[in-house]
Amino acid sequence: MSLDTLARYILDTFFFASLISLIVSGLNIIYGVMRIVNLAHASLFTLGAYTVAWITANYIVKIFGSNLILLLVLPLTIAVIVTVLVSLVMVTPLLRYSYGKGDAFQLIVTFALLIIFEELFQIVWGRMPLAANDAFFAMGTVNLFGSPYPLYKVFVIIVAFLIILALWLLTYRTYLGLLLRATSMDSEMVQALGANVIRLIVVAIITASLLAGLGGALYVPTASVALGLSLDVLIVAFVGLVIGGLGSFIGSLIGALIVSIFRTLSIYFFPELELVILFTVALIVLIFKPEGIGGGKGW
Amino acid sequence: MVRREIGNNIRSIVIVAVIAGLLYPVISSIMPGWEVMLTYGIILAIAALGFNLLFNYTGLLSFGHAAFVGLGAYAVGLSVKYIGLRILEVQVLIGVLLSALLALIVGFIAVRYRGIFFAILMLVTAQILWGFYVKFYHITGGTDGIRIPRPTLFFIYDTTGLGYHAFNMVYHYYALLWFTVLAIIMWYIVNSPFGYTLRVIKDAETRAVALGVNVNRYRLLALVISAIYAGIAGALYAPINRLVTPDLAYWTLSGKIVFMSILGGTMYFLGPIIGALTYVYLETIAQRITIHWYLILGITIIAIMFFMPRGLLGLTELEGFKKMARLFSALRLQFKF
Amino acid sequence: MNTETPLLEVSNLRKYFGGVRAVDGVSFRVYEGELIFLIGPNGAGKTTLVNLVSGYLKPDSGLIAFNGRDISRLDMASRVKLGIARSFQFVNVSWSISLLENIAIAIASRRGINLSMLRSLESHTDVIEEAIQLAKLVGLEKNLDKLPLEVSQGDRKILDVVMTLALKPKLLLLDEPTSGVSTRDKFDIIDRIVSAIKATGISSIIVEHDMDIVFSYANRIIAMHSGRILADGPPEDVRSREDVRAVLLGGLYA
Repeated sequence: MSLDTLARYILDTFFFASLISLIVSGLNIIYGVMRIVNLAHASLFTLGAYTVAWITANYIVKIFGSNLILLLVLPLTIAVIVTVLVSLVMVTPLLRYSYGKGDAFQLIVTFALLIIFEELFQIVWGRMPLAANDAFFAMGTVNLFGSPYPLYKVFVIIVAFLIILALWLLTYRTYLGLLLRATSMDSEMVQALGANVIRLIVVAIITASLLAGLGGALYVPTASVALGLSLDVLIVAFVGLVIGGLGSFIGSLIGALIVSIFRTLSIYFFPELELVILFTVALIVLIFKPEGIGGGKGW
Repeated sequence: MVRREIGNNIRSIVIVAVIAGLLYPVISSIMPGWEVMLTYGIILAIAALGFNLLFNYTGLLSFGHAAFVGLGAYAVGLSVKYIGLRILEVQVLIGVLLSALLALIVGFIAVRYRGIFFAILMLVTAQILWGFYVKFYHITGGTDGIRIPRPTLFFIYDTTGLGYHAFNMVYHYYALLWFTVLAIIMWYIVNSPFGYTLRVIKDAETRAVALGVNVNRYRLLALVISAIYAGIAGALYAPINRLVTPDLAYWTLSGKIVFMSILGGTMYFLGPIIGALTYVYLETIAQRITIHWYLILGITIIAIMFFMPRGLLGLTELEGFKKMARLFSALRLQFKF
Repeated sequence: MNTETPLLEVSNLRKYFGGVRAVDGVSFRVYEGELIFLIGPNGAGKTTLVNLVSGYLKPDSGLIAFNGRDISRLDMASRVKLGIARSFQFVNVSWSISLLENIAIAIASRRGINLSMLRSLESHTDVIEEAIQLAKLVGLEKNLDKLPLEVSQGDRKILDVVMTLALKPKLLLLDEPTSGVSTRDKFDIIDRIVSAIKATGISSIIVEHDMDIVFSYANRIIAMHSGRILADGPPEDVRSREDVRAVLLGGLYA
């Protein structure tokens, strides 16, 4: 493997890990506060992606041309707002009323939500894949050991890093974060302290939705968005969770990175076997380290 | 022992089978074209029975039972395509063996986990197989699938010469025979010491361990039986569908199996059966109303979970139904029928 | 001193959870037919000791010998097969099947017919018959058709014990069989349990908080404090010990 391919591989891995960590940390926040693994969380990622693709192609480019700042900021902002709004209307109430109902109930309800989202995407955006790579091309490339590498991917890595850093500061350096962490350990105790757990739950879901929407929005300039994306994302995120350990903030980030290493490898060399490789990785982790790397010590 | 659950006996299974047998000519004369749904219904009921052994009795939720349905169907498709095998019972047997093998391999690790981990491991299994059917099109025919010629039943009865309606009818009763036998076997499994041990594992795992039960071995066995049922359903599905496509392994089919079971009521032995039979008609009606009937499916699942968690059979526990049942048995005593 | 091989011999058993010395160098012997009450304040290490002997937890060090054989590395299922059965502090039964079916499954498990699939549990009449007999022994025969949630907490605790008895163990470990039951019903429940134990002659270790109960029923008491055995002997000896009174009895039995 030549130096530029290796560098490209490493950057691609980090790019993918950036997106996955946005999803996985969102899943983890909701799990921490509510003990629910929200299967429909991946749909919010897809929603963010569809929104950006659609709005960029149909409006942004037509109205503002290819102004790079507008191409980046406007679709991203709109996508995040749309995702959070949709989450407030469709996801938040369902999760809130599924709270404490047992994991079979929650899994079936969020699975049904996944099906509903998939059909809604088809109704709104049709069966054909959507793409909007204007921002991707507008940004150009950097020289990576003699061959060009898209600057946009580097941009995504930096943005995701900043977001995750902000999330870390939020959970470990603020009072809200303290409450969130405390809820993940003992929600009754937090209730006894006078904090409104339902409000905390809503805050957690909104934060998680925002992260998912942002992830999808960042993703779409690099690839097209099509039906079935939610499920692919869900599976990759889940393998990340298995590796990192459910309920561990740092663990989930490491999990996202490891799953990205394997996924990027398989995309490079055995694209047909992507799922098989991810599945095998998940099984191996489950055999040798069933609690995951983070060990579910709470966050 | 008191049986508080409606229809948890072999007589009820036989009654359902007889009704499904009698309804076929009735539906085909009143509403031609709708009778074949009944065949699909009893075949899917077999898969749903398998699903519920795992879900209600063992406490494991699988989002990947389509993996086994698909395997059963492709056992038929590939065996006819490559070795010209058309004896359905042999093809079913191949499907059973493949499903059991897959369940053993995946289950070896998956049964150590519950909840989300088990559910998604099964989902990924199904998606891998689905990907295989789609991507290796030179073997599987890809999304075009494999055409299934008329099978030979009971080793000797070649159905090739039968007309469309005659075949459908013959096949309905053939599938019904499978259904009846499999449902009765499942009833014994669920009500046997093994079935009760599964319930103890589900409700009180540490107690099961304290009784000296090797919990994971029981879960694995339940998964294998469950997979065999889904595999048989897949194999029986192929000839009536006349086509085997990757859709039979897609995650939405797994979702449908979950849905059928909760529609009928997973707490009841008959639940998945009633659910599957109701489901096929609901689907047909919904498909005629809108092409976006998955939306209806999803919303209905959520509505049932929140407002009717015991499913259709849960309605039998309402006071009104109990009154009618008492009235019915009073009439039966009075007029001796 | 007794010279026969003890049924259970625990020597120098240790289990630490981080810095907490839950069980810290515990040694004692149990002989056939003994009825022992294990007492001690909360956090004394009683439940941990039960968990270690039953195989629910593995010890950090020390030896557990059953009938002269070292079992400290065996898992719970193997110890059940050897004849060590336990109940739990919290009722741990299947909520979706009747009391009778719960007991029957415990019996089926002892008889090794759990894997029987093609005959209904109901038709195993010998198992059902034994379950009914066992239920009669503890006065549970009236509610056998009910689900665990439909009977009183006391009956649920009894069910928990009966499922353990159904294994016909050589050593029975009962972890607070009267917890969660009103003071009024405690004596009734322990009375039913102890008479069943005496009728079957099984060696038993019962963890119990209520000193009235302990001193009414025990032939031998082991008192624990901070992971160690403080006193071990007949009730009158244990009662007269100053240190035991200080940590346990609070002067009540002075």
